[in-house]
Amino acid sequence: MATIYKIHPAIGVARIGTSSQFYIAPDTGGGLPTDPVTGQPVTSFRDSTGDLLKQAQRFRVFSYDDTNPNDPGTEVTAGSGGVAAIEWTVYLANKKACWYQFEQLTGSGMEGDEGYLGNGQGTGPGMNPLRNMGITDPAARQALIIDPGPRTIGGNGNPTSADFNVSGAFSDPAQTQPYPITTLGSIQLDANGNLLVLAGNGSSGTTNLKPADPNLPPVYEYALTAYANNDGWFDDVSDGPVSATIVLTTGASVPVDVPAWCLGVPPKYAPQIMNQVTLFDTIYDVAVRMQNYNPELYSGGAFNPGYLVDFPNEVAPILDRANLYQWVAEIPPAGVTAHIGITQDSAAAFPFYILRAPIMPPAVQNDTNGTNLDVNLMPKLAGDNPISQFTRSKYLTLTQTQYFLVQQWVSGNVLPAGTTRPTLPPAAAIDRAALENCVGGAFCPGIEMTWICRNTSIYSQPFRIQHATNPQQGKLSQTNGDDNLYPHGVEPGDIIKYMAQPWQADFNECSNQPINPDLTTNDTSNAVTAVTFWWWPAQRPYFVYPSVDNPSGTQLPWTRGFLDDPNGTPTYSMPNVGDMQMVMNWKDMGFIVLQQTPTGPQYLEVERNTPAITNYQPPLLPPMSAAAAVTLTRPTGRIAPRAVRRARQIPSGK
Amino acid sequence: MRPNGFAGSLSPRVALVAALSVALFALACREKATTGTAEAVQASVKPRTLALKSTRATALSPTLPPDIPGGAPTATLADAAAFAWQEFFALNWPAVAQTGQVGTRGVADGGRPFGDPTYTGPLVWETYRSKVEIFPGNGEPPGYVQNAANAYGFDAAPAYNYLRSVPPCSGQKAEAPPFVNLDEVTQIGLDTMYAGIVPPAPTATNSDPQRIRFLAKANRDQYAYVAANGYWNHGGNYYAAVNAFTNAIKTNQVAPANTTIFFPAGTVEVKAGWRMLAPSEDPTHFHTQTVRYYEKAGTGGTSPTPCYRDAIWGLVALHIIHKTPTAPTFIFATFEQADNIRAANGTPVEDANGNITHPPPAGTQPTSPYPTYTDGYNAGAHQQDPSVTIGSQPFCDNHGSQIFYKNLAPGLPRGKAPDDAVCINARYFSIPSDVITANSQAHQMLAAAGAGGPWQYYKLVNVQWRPFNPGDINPDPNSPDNVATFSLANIVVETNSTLQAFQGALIANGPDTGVKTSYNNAGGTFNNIHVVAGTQYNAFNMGGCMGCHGNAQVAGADFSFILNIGGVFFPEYPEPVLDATRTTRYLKGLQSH
Repeated sequence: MATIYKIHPAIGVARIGTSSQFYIAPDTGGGLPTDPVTGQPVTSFRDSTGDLLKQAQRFRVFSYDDTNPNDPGTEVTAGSGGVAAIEWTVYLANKKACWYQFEQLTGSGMEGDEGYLGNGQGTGPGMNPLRNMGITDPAARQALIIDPGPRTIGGNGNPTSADFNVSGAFSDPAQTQPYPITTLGSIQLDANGNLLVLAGNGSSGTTNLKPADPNLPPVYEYALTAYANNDGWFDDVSDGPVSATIVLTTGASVPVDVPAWCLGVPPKYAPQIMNQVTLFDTIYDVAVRMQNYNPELYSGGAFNPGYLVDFPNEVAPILDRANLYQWVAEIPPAGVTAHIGITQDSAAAFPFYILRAPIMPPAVQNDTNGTNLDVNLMPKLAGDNPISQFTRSKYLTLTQTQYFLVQQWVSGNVLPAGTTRPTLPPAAAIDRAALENCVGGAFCPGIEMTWICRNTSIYSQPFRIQHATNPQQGKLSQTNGDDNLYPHGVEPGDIIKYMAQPWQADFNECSNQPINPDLTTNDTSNAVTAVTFWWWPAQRPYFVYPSVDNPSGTQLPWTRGFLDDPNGTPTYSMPNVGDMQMVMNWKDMGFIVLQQTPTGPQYLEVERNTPAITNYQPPLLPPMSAAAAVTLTRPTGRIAPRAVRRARQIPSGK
Repeated sequence: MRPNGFAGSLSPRVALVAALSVALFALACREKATTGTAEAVQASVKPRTLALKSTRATALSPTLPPDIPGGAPTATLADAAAFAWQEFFALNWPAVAQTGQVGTRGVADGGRPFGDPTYTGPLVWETYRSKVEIFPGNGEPPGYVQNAANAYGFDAAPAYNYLRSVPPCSGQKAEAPPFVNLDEVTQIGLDTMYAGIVPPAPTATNSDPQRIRFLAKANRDQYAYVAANGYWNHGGNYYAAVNAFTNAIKTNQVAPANTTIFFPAGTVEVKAGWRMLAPSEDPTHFHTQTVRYYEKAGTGGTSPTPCYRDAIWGLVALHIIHKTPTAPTFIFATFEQADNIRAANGTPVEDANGNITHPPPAGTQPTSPYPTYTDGYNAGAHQQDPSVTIGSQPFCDNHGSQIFYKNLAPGLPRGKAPDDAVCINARYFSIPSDVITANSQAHQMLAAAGAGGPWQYYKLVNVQWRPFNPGDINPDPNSPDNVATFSLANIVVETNSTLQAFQGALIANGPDTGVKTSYNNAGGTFNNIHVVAGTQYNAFNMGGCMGCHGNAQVAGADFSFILNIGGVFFPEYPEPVLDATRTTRYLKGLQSH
């Protein structure tokens, strides 16, 4: 027998917070995070001062007998089983500012797209300009990477904790407003020698203090101008490799065979409400169809028509998710009822026809044939690109694997009653849970990870991101993966670099989306013909039921009180004013949590710092003088909701 | 807190149904002795004279009346009945030539007389848009143009664009779509409805000849409103508008104008029931028309597909719902062919005016079996908990020429054998004499104009023109608040126990699906109607059609189920595999209360 060591979760998810304190990422999909001391589900998302707790991702090492493919694994802890310590090395970075602009699916390699490199760095149609393209000197561009270098803790002579504090233009308060980027987070050991990764503070700021438009009033001077690409801006989300060495009591050191990856990303504000398509679903679909992960289900380029589904474990979770969207989006009553209905349907009663069939790959939804593109189909969630004209993908679908599993159930191909497929061993369940709490689509760009998760070249094996060999501080690649291939592995910051800069801009705008059902265009200038879809309200709520200050129990915008409040009057009708507010107020937003109420269980908004939101003033940054600042008048009254629906701002040239 | 209008220890539904339905059935048979509660009701009936109503003669006009003269709030039953007949005349008038040009659909040909025996084209209401033409399963409404002056293309020729195109059935020649498109084969998914007078054996072209099939249509005003706002696919600001209304009734603060869905006055929806005629029936007693109906094509299983057939069938029911300036909750009127209710031997129970001419034997309940309804609320589970049972009563398997239904909904009594049905002996609530008088007057007017034709065999059943609560039901059968008006229902469109005596909410999920309840999900009263009164709403737990459509108002769709449900993916056709799913298909349009 040979022992191999693996780190779990395969891809972990730490989440930013303003507090130095933290909770532990949930080990179940749709579970609450847990208290690091008691291990019990948290009852608060804030510390005693009201600051937002970080979500720490705990990584653990499991040993396996490599001669037994069914070995469920045994957890390895420091101080027992011949293990003296575990030495952990983590390297977080953020490459957003030196990467390409996010242009929906352009650059993704889908539908004949040639990838960033092939498309070219110009600003013409179908091309991929760089972010901060005015900075051309290679060294200066390298300095755009937030690169604190690797950190090692635990084991012989190493500290038990370390931070990812940074220096550079983005960390200079005099240059970066409103917040400098001072750290990408930290790592520490828990009592068992396991690794805890803590993400950054959620700081975002810009070095670009010049007015975006000299004709704008000062209040807009520092407004963000686009949902995904804002030159001069930085944020402190991150990603990078997690590896470990087992230090045995004999003094020998054994590197883990299968390392992991960590994302340091924004909070999940509705932790118990899972996305209809989770990141697990998407990566599992890749594993099944492209990595021979489950040959009984899929082999030889096709799903097995004789595959018998395990309804409770493979199908019911898919059908149950839509029902909870009522707590985070303004689902009409008919939709709420329908969603409840499909949690109760028999296979014969289930309206399979209402599911939008995935056509491989999602970008091929531009196909103008067939009825699968009808606007009425479900889920009513936006696709990867309903906003620009290149590589359109208007609507989200279930993954091909999800769709097939549901189809098998509807067709009666189910396991005999009383039988189930084997449950996942604990370590694999941890892998799954971490990804189940993330967005698996739509990727425009998404929150934790974008469409790069569908690219098999980033993986060493299913669910495992292939590490680049020996990445070094100051020498991280500016171009790795620009041809959509990662033959040399993935570097720190390579996953997060695709995401919006700063994340808050996209986060604010990715609430709902008017989509033109016309398959030949994504122009939504005709608001009447557009149909509103949601992005990922399970992650970024849109309409919620507040638990306080709402005696009538009505559903209200999650961002109520914002300058671009969907129910308010947009005195500041310039685009992106709310994006700037999200930079300031993301930490004040409420969490949507299951509550037992007199009328039954409800998912209600809690712990919202409403005064901080309603008292928000756009930051007046140097060199603007206080005298030049306009005094804001809070908007009053209401407007027709349609007036505040806006398409995401497309960069000029798109 | 108990729902409106109930008191004491009796189950509220038992109290209402058992007392009032029996009472009114007895009242309609004036010669019969009445006992118990019925006696008390009859004792309170005020004497009336026909002279009052003789002054309300209607005119044979192709003009759709804009409102009840004097306004709905103060109208009498006779006023409302006269209005309903004016609607009937206008909507059944021959339409102008249907050329697809602007201003043709839904427009009467004033150059033709009502009932023109030489005319075989579509009637005004038949040229309204079918629901799938307003809420297509695929793409934009046919002919849609973004031009208000052209009513957004309302007048385009009919095209029924379901999710997938529907071919002609084997042996059916491909034809341009007729205006009458029967794409419903259930009573809103609760049950299926049959006419026993038609031979049951499948024919070469009709797999279920006794089955009554339905359509829903809407006029230019509704279509234009839907199209102008992009609501045909729940686009535009549909979600925000629905949310604004549901929030508004929750807070009891009227939402600002134009933030909610609110159809303009003049909006009309119609629903009609059609069927094959039996060889024993006189086709001159029916309005007949070419209809399109749907059958199963190809294989069955979980994904059978439909095909269409065209044939000439007879009209057996016509609902009209009409929003007017003084009736924001719509005016609901329902008409039937004269002989819908028959004894097993084929004898009609009522005459063409609605008089009961051949009453069932004494002691006969309105249906066989006759379900017992009990409302309830499970406080522990926070759930509405009504029940409907037939106890040990047998199903009616030998219906002869009677009409009968078979429940589909999980919460309603369903037989195990294919023939297990509920037979109709009489209405739950008989037609009030003022309505009978209005029918008589209308028939006389038709006869005088030489326009009787088939139309003399249609009768108004009742009208609802403003909401009221069950506690305000007046025992006078001709009161504006009489129980038959409260519970307005068509005997072949809303036949089962839920629909004949509807009020409150229709439960859309779980084991009680298809059952009504007057409880909301918090144990209070479910109010299904909300009328603006200043800055707040007056709320009602109305019955019948209005109360049922009020469920669509509560769901934010201003009384319109076809808007509430949205895209029409498939036409319905007789298919047991699908029948089992149709309850949920329909009720999913309703709120989970």
